[in-house]
Amino acid sequence: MSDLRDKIAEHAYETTAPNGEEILVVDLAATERIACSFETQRRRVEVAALQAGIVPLRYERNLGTLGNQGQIALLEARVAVVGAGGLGGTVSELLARIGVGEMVLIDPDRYEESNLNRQLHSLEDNLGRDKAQSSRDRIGEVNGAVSVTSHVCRLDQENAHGLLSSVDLAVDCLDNVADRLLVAEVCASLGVPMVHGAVAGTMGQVMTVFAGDGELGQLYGSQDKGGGSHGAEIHLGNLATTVAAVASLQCQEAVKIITKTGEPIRHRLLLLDLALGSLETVDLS
Amino acid sequence: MTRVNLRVYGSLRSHLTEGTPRCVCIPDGETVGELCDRLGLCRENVTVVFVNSQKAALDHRLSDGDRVSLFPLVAGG
Repeated sequence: MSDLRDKIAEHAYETTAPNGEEILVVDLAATERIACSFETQRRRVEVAALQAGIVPLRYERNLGTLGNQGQIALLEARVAVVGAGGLGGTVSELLARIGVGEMVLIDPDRYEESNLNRQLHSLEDNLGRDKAQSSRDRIGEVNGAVSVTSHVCRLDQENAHGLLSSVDLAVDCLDNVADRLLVAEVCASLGVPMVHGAVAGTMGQVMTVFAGDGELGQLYGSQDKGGGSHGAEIHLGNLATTVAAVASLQCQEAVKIITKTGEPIRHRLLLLDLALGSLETVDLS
Repeated sequence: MTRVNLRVYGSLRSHLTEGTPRCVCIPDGETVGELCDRLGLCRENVTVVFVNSQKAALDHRLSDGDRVSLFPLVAGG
């Protein structure tokens, strides 16, 4: 480890941060070279740099808010993004940019033309491609230090425990009630926190659920009740604006949980309606 | 009479009679479900109800000055 830190220090250089402070940084090209010569993952180099007080340049604008310890916690976190469509595409992109070290992407679907209006990783030339794999490829372009595993399958009773057993957090980016309640149930049994998000038209909602919290069931009814698995989005559709807003709020919940800062939206439901310009948090306890 | 402040969200808004005021007067003791009926909203479509930012059921009896928020089910991703 000291050899690695010595090598990072050798490549570090001083620069002036926006607040005028002189800081030591290491850039992308150097972290890539060091990772290659030490036969280790790039995020291991980034963590070692942060531990030595040297800032990987790509995260320099994160640190005023997150701090070195917060950035290290993110780089060492493993997050499942369940659903790689509208919410999932934007969530995985934002988590990669902020520097979450490992992601597990789960989605059985392929891109269709009707996805182009809102799903960030859908492109005119990747229609027909698996969403989970396309998001993995995109994350590789955004932040090559992130380790991504993609699973082209629907999360179900048989595979859910295996897919979620080793994650620190799951982000619910699903598009139906039944699968959400399954993820909530499995996360609860594994002690994994879950960040719920859902959209319909200009409306969206976000909530964080820890093991033992029952609010998602309260919101959607128990899985046994069945009932409609879809909501108002069937009539209202989904807009890119609402998807981006809700995905962003979900990612901030993930950051708060991983870095143990701020106050998660727990026992509460955050509701937004972009048509009204309204944002309210309601008590579910 | 009881006066309640009303907020109706998303697709439910399109079922409201045009010009429905934000502040409505209802008979004393009326429930959220009865308010939905009065507004012409199908109870089945009102899946989430909050009264004064607390989750409430359709049989919740409203009081003067209550703030009532009615939501449809939101489940898209």
